[in-house]
Amino acid sequence: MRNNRDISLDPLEKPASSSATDGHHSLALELTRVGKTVQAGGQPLTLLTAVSLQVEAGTSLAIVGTSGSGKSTLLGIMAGLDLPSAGELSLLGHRLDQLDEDQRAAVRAQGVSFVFQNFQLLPGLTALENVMLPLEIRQQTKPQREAKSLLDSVGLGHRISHYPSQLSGGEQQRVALARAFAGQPDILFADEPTGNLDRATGKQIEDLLFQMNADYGTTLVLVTHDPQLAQRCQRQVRMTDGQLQDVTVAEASA
Amino acid sequence: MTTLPMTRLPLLAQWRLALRLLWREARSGELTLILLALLIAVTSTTAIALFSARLELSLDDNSSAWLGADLRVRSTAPFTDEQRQLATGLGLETAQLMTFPSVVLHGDNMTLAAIKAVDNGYPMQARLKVITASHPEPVLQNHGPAAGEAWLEPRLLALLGASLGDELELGDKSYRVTGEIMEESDRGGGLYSLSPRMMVHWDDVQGSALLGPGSRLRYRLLMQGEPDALAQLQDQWPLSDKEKFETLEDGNQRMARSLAKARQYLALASLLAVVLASIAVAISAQRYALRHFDISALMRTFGLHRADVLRLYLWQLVTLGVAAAAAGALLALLLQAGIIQLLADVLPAEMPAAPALAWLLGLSSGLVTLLGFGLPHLLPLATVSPLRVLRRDLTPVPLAGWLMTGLALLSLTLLLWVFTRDLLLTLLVMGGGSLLVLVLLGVLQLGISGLRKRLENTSLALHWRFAWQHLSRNSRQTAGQILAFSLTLQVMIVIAMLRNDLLADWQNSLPANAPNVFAMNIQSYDKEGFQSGLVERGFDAQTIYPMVPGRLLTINGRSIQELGLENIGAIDRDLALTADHQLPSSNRIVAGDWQAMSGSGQLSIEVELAERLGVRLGDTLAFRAAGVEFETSVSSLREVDWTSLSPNFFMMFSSDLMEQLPPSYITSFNVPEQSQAELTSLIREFPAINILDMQALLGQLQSLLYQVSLAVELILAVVLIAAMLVMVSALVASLRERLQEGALLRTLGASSGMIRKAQLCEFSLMGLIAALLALLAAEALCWALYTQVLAIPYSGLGWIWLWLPLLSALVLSGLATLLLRKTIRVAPLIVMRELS
Repeated sequence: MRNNRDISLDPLEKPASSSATDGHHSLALELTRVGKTVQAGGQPLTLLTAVSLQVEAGTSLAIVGTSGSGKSTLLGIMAGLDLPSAGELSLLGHRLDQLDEDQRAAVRAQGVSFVFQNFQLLPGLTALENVMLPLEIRQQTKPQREAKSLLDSVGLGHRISHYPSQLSGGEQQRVALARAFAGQPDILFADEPTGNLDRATGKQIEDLLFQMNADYGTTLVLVTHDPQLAQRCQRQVRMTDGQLQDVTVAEASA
Repeated sequence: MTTLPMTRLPLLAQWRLALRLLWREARSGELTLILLALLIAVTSTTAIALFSARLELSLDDNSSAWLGADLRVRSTAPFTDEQRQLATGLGLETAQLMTFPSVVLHGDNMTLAAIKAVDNGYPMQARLKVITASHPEPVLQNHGPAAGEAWLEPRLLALLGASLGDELELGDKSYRVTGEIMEESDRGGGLYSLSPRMMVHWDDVQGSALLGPGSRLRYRLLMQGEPDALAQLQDQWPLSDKEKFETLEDGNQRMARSLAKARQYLALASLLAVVLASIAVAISAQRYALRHFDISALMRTFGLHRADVLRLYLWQLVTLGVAAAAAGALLALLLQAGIIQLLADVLPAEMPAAPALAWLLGLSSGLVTLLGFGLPHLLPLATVSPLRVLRRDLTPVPLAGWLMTGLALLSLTLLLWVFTRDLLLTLLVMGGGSLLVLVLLGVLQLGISGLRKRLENTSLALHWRFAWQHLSRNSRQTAGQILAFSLTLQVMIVIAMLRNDLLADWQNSLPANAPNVFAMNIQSYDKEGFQSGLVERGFDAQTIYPMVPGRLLTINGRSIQELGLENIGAIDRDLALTADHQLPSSNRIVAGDWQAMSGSGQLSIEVELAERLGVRLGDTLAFRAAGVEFETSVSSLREVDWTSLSPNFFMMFSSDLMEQLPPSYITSFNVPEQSQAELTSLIREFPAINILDMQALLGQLQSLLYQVSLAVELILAVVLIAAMLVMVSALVASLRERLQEGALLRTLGASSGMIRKAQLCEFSLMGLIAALLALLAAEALCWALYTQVLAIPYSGLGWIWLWLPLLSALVLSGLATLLLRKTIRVAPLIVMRELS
């Protein structure tokens, strides 16, 4: 057997070249000319073209764009769920494009979490168990206590033993939020988090998301086609045909 | 940024997490079906393994009662001290006996008896029931007669006019009759050597003039002990041409034949139960895997290592297997205990405990099935891309088809082999089965896609169109589903057919009014009287055959000695020669012409003996009988069913030859159970006639067959349960998809009646096709099994062809209606929400 620890840890121990040493202004995420091409029907299909982007730790970024513009593809690559076919990419100081799938998983375990449009709760697990699962996988002590307090903080302390099918869409997404913040991640990727919810419920989830994000000081990367939701982020970028355009720096306009 | 260690779960944590996940899923009902499939696999295989192991042990007990030992050597010479020491040296217990014919005297009465002298080791495993002066009821004995005493069969007592306490003379000694032998399970022997029994002690006949040259002595050494030691002895024994290891086949051919078939059936049935349970496990595992793509992807986004995902599932799998094994074992124990309780009347009073191997076999079947059929479906779970959380269409690449099939086949072959201990049967079933499945799958897939093209532009009623679209959309999935149903039906057909024909075969071999008593040595002057004696008592007599003992002298003018044939078993002694113008019903002409027997000097010879002697049609054989020498010409070869209960002969002559000889006569007849007094009076009326009562022996055989038949029925029931499980799991596997579809159709305005109709059409169609395929395959399989393995004549499936397709369509659509009623009952919104 090869020694997992030696080999897999190696790339992680080298701080990425672009990562600043100053904690306050360090980059949580950096993309340099990232491209993605896939084969579709024998033809190469370009999904992303030379995307460059820097996200500072603790800030929030919204990626907007129409359906099929490539924003979900970009999210997948940024989170290390997929690999770019060109360019450099570092997440939390690790060069994802140089890591294999299991090493990328280790980066995710270290401080990456997700909120999905379709909630992705496990139907066989109760709300509490759904929130506990990532904590258990990361072998945290007293996962139950933390999960309970997280569910309390999303206002579902009284429904911890309900199954997802017994919860409304808004409630399910609140469980998903509680799960996303379990273990205090460094960066949270959200894919259309209110896309499956009605306007009012969506607003509640939005509020909760930004509230928790502020409380935990998490870096937030959000994909949405909802301009109102995007407005609440410090910074917005727009995807058009696989290219990142029209970069708005919220601070600049403020 | 500081570095963090990889998220690799240590073993204990893995196990605990796996258990927790498993427990949560079990609680939410996700595991019910796969657990049920496993449970049935383990329960049925263990119960069958236990029951058949115990039954087999008890049958072995029976068969060792036939031999009187675990192993028996026959010899025409006494066993030497070295030989006996070889056995005792290996830790075997031994007993010796010798048999020879001799005249016994009681006053003025004398008769020929079959003498059996036994030593102190006798009766070992033989059942010896004797009536003594102190016990008027037959009592099981653990020793033979003491020195100076003799035990006799009632028939011999009647012939001699003697009773308990009388003195008899044998050779130069006298013996006091102290016992009446009512049962002697190791009696065995051919019909013609059966004079009535007299049993004495070994020491009494040693050094007697009775054992002089010319006496026809048979020595037997009985041995019992550990199987290893027995095998070792058989290896080391210097077998001379005077000696022979005796097996059950020598003791009783009929019994051996029935037992062999029963064992094959039990093995085959348990094998098919394993196949069915495996299919159920595979279907459930596939469904389980499908439902776990999301959780796997999610766990990967939480940062779990691929190998750990796999290990989590492995742990769950192993835990599932162990849990199913434990629960299944308990159920199996109860089940077989219940059966034994139910059958207490017919089963032997003391069933031996099942050996550890049977337990191991049943229990491991669960794990092997799970690993062989479940694991291949679960392996891809580790390779689920975490990107699936964003893109639902990303499903992991399933294991290569050949690998998945290979694993399943390998584990099944292993199981079957261990189960049946018959490599040939296993390979035959596996090879034939795989080929069959491949062909059926191909034909189905081709048929469906071919039909789809042709039906594209045809207008059908809406529900038929829905049904057809459903079936044809995924031709591979449909083919698989139909195949699962079809295989299930096929197994049911084969098992049921085999059961019927096996039972019928046994029934035929032992018809209720089969002859159970033989009468031999009927002299010409007694013939008429005896025949009318039979009619008076209502006994149904078969043909009465003349019989003359005679020897074969020459073949085509060359003497037997010259030809070096003098040691061939059948002709080293007097042959029973007979003549009749009619071919006995248990005989069949295989060469030549029976009609020639109406001519003169004709001979019909048994075909196997003819082969051993190198005799062909037209050869001239000379015989000597009753001091007359005569020549015959071979005009036909006969195949003889030696297991039939009528007199059978190697040599049959044309009637003219018998006219010059002084024959005695032989016949067999049936004595009903309530007519024992009539039989006794017949024996009294014709004391000179040798009457051989086979009732006890046949009764024993009949009760044995009854036991085995019950086991066969039981196994049929277990197989049927396993079959139902396959059907249900195949249906439930597609339930989710159907729920979604039903909900969608209803939101589009389809009435629940329409959906129900479409479902009915779809499943009737499926049932119909599955049944037709099953019938085709079963016809081929049954033919192969009957003719190649079991040697029972095969006459086709017959009427099943008419009713099975209808019944199958009915049952399947009924089952589907029951299981899928949720698709039309539950509000679409709820369905959509639950499945979203």
